[in-house]
Amino acid sequence: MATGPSPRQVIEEMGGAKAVLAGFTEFYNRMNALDAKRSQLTEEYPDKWIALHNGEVSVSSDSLEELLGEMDRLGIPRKESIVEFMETERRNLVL
Amino acid sequence: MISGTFDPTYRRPYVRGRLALPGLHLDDYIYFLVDTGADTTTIYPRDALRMGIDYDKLSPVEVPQYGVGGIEYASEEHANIFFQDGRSIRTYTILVSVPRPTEHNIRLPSLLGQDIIQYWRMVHDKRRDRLTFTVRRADLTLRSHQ
Repeated sequence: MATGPSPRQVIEEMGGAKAVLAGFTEFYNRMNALDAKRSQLTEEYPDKWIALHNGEVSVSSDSLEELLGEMDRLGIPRKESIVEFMETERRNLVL
Repeated sequence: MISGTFDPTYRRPYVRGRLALPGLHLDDYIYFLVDTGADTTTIYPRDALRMGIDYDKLSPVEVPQYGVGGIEYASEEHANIFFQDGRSIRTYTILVSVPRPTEHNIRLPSLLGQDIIQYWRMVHDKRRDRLTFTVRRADLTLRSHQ
């Protein structure tokens, strides 16, 4: 059912298997940096979307679309950032 | 073995993947909520918008998805999803669902559904903080030296 490039080609376009594996580690580290500060950031940015880049909040907004637009305007790379909503009320999910 | 994680707030099960949408020339890493009750892997707006998905470039044919909250309609897009399994990359080629943003789904995590989970054996042990997946089948497995 696949159309377009093969998965192997897609990986090559992403820099090869080594680069993809290294990216997993970087992504994990970025998420851990957010989790380590989650309580503090929730207090500082209650119910806001934030973008964490290089371990610091670079942009915050009430709206995800506005946050992403501001990131682009400031040249903050989306792929090197974590975007998260800092929710203050617990929400139970039943999907 | 693929390692997952329980998020620190809700202790929900997540796994990291890299999603590529060749038709849109987009890719990025995503934390997927592992949802054994979902038939299809679904990319919700928080990830779709961050990746730069232009909803107007998706298939205009939207298929219904039934959930406890009712019906939502989603486009389908050819995707490759990659997972780290030690020094290997496990690859799946599937159709992912991409629902348009609504006030109800904007904050939802993307879901990893049975279209991939069916090929894994899962150990889900919150008490021991252990979430692992043993791959029974993948469309392609690449070693890091390849």
